[in-house]
Amino acid sequence: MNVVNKLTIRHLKKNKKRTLVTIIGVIISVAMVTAVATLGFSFMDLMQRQTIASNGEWHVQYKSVNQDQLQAIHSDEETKKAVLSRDLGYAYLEGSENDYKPYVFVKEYNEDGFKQFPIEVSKGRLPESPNEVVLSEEIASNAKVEYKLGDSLQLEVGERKSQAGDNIILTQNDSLQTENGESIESLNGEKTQNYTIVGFIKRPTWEPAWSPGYTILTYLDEKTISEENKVNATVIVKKVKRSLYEHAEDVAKKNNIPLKSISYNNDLLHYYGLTNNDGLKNTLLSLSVIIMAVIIIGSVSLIYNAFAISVSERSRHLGMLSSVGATKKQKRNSVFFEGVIIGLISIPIGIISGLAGIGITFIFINSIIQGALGVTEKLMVTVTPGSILIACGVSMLTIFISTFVPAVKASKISAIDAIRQTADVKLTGKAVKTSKIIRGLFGIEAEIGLKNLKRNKRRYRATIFSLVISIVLFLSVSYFTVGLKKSLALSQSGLDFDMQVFIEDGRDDLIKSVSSLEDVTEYNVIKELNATSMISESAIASELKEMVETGEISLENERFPYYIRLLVLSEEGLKSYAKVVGTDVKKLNNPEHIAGIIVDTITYEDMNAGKFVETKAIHTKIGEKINLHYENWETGEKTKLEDLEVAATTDEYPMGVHSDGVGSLDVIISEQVMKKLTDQIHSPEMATSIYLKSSDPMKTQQEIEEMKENGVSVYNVFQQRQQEEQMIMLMSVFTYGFIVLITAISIANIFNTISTSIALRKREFAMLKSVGMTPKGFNKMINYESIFYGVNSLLFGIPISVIVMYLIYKGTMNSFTYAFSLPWLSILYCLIAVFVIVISAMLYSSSKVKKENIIDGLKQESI
Amino acid sequence: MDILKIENLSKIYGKGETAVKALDHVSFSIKKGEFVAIIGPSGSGKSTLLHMLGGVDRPTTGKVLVDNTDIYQLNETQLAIFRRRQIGLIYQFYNLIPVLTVEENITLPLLLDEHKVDKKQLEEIVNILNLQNRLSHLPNQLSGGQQQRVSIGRALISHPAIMLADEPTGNLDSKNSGEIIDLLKMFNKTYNQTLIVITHDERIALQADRVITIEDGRITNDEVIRP
Repeated sequence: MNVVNKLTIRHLKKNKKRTLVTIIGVIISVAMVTAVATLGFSFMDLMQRQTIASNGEWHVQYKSVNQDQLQAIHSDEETKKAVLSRDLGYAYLEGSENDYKPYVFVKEYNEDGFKQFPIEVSKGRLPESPNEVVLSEEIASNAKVEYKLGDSLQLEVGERKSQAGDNIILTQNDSLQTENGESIESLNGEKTQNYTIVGFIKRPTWEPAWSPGYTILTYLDEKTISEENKVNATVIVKKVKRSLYEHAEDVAKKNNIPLKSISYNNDLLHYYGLTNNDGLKNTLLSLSVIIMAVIIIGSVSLIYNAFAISVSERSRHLGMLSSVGATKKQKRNSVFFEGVIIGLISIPIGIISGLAGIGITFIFINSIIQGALGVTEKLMVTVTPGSILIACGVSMLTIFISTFVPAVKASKISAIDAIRQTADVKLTGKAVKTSKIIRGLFGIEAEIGLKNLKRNKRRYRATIFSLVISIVLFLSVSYFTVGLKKSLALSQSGLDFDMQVFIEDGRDDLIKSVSSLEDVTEYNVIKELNATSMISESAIASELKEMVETGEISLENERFPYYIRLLVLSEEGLKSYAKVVGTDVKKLNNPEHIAGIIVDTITYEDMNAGKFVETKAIHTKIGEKINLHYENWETGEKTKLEDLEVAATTDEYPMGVHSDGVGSLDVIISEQVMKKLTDQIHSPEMATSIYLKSSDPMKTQQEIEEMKENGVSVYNVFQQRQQEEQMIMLMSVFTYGFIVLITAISIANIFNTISTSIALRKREFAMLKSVGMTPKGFNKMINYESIFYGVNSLLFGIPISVIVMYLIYKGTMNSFTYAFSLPWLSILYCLIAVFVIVISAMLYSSSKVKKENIIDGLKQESI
Repeated sequence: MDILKIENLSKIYGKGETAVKALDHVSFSIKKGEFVAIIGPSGSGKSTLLHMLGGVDRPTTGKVLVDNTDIYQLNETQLAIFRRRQIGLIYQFYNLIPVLTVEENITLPLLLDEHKVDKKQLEEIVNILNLQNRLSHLPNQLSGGQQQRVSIGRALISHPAIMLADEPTGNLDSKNSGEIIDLLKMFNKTYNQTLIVITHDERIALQADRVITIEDGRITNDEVIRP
């Protein structure tokens, strides 16, 4: 080792505390980069495993191949395994009690197929010959058709077709085609198949919930493959890579397999990051890049600072070296060498602690993840050479950027600089000029404090920059999280119930049976009648006006037909709703005076712009009247109803109600008014919903479903709400974890900067004391210095944060149901935290100086 | 009248075997308006003595009475206030505050005391020190001699009971040295300012009223040159 490097190491050892802080800073930054990279890879891995667990592990499927083509696929170099399957078709399940699942669906697998796809045998065994079958358990539990092991089963298996006449063969992905509750499907080309039941399986996860057929699996005998009896070959490739698509097409071309019969398991492949134009990949990638950029900025500001301080402290050594003949390169390299030493210590520790950190995080969040993302697999720490390489690369880049400027500066230090012992910044009177007010208000101590900040602009800026970054990150991320929570709270206030039960018209008896269920704690009934209204051109929404002008829609007699939803709230509900809207409920209750509240301000999703937009659904005023027409869709009978007066307009929806978009209106009326209106209608079609709260929503849902009544359907918000809550929780864990780490880097940075700036001023402090600065005055000076740091960083940090918060607010326009408001509590936390950090850094650094003897201080060689 | 009285002053650095006696039972007193030079070889304890007199370091035993006040009976804050009002210190390396202008450096003891600066008095001192054109400069924009003149100004501004100078010319060439000593003497004579100078420059010592020689922490010679 050459002498310059030896000197460097000695210098690092001498300044143990600062070296340690630098190392800690680098460790945190490396750990964060590692964690982010690992998180990305682990998430991909989780989704891969999840997809495999639910849909099986396969990559490419060639449909309808014959024996020769199969051989070619088998012998292809990329093929690890080819699994055979065949969809035989549907047969009626005699006695099925589920009207929406009248069939069984017969599928054949060869031996490998049974292994490769997730099939769980609950009783008996898997089929081993073409006349053996296993049945989905649901046939017994859901369709209530009992079979026993060893029973024989005769099925007429054919293809499903809809009578609608489009002649498409329907698959398990198409639900039962119905009209007026009656099936309009038929089975064609049936063949009789005889089977023996050898086992039962759990409902396969790949069977869609809406499938009309229960799954039956049987054995595929490879000998039966022929030109007429083709099979599907599902390939598991040796190595998943991008060329997989091209290669599959190549194989198909060579073996006369039509290209359209190739299908890819894109669900799985996109978690390998292989599919093009993939939203997930882009989101994940851009998110990682943004986070890493923030980490790099944060850590560079720390590490750069540490090296800059080190260089200015070593300037005497470097100058001395220069005077005995050290070249520019040697001086420069000594700084890079310092970087290498720090890197060698920090990077391995950083990677290990990053992995450990993310591992511990996974342990804690796995249960949340499973709820929030609806997965069954657990997140596992996935270490790939790629993620480690990324972490190493980013860290080395960070250190290199940080050392570059100090290194160049070090190379320029000349012998004469060292001898003169000039400060690294040439002070000018203008630079440290302060306003007279400071001295007048706070005294000379404050003024000296402020001048001290100004004397070294670069160090001052670096400290302020660290603080500002932390403030902005903290405030914007917490605003984001608070926003999420708030929108959830709002959507819940709209959906102030656990589930919504739709009840068909004329089944009012069900209201009672549902609401009297054991766990129901509260319920509310909303009745709905659909009508239309011809709205004059001057009153229609501006979006519609535009469409009229471009000719996309046309008017009838200069009027546009609006779709009107007349909603009846319960008496109590109407009262409180009228209060929210700000109108008198009496105006609504008079059946002789038809009036209602119109929700005139709506939000809709502009599909083209991919944004949520707020607009006026109708331009109307209180007291104006709108006409109402009712059309019975079954009979086509049209009725003109009484005109409705606008009692109030609002942007507030009653609970559970959402806008249907531009061209429709929601009008809230009372029971009496509804009665008066419907008096004129022959047979009004009303829809009824019960909104209910339950002490055990899952059980209640099950109980309602078990009623097996056709007129009822349940929309359980509880589950969705719970899932959203867990999602927010999950995001909070990551966002706050991120803030904590960035703040840790910043704190290390601030401590480093402040303690160095104080250590370098020891002689000055001693001097101030010797001319009679009291300990109190000294504290005052230090405190003012801290306060100026704090105030200045807040002066920049808060406005920048507000701008960022506003941008977030603008960006997430879907949550604009609440007005933009500043998170005062977070700002308060931030204020307190900034001062606590700065003051504690100041106190820590100055405590030593304070204890120091004036004489020792005066003897300090550098100033 | 004795403005300064020292009784049995000792200072021991370190403990046990490594203990070094920097001052060993030193006693003497100084009258108001006297110009005293303290001389002695390196390590004889003269700087230690000066620090004791200036109230910046505490003695192991003994008393320092300034204007009949035992300064080491004062607490930290009182001592600091005492320093800023009663002691003017001049160092070899000037020790000016780099972020303060010449004017601010000179008036610093007054500013710390939250005293109004007497413009006339400041002007007078500045004129004597020949710093009128440098008032808004920062210390690093001045020459060594100029910087030392600023520190003299700072030592004088509060009319201290004693002005202490530790090798005030040690860092200056002979021309500047002469100027500084002349200034110090001038203040001593004109304002009847008590002045104690530590030096090992014979020529400076000979200009004093009285020369105290210290060797190994003890006074070996105390002679009045001109009464």
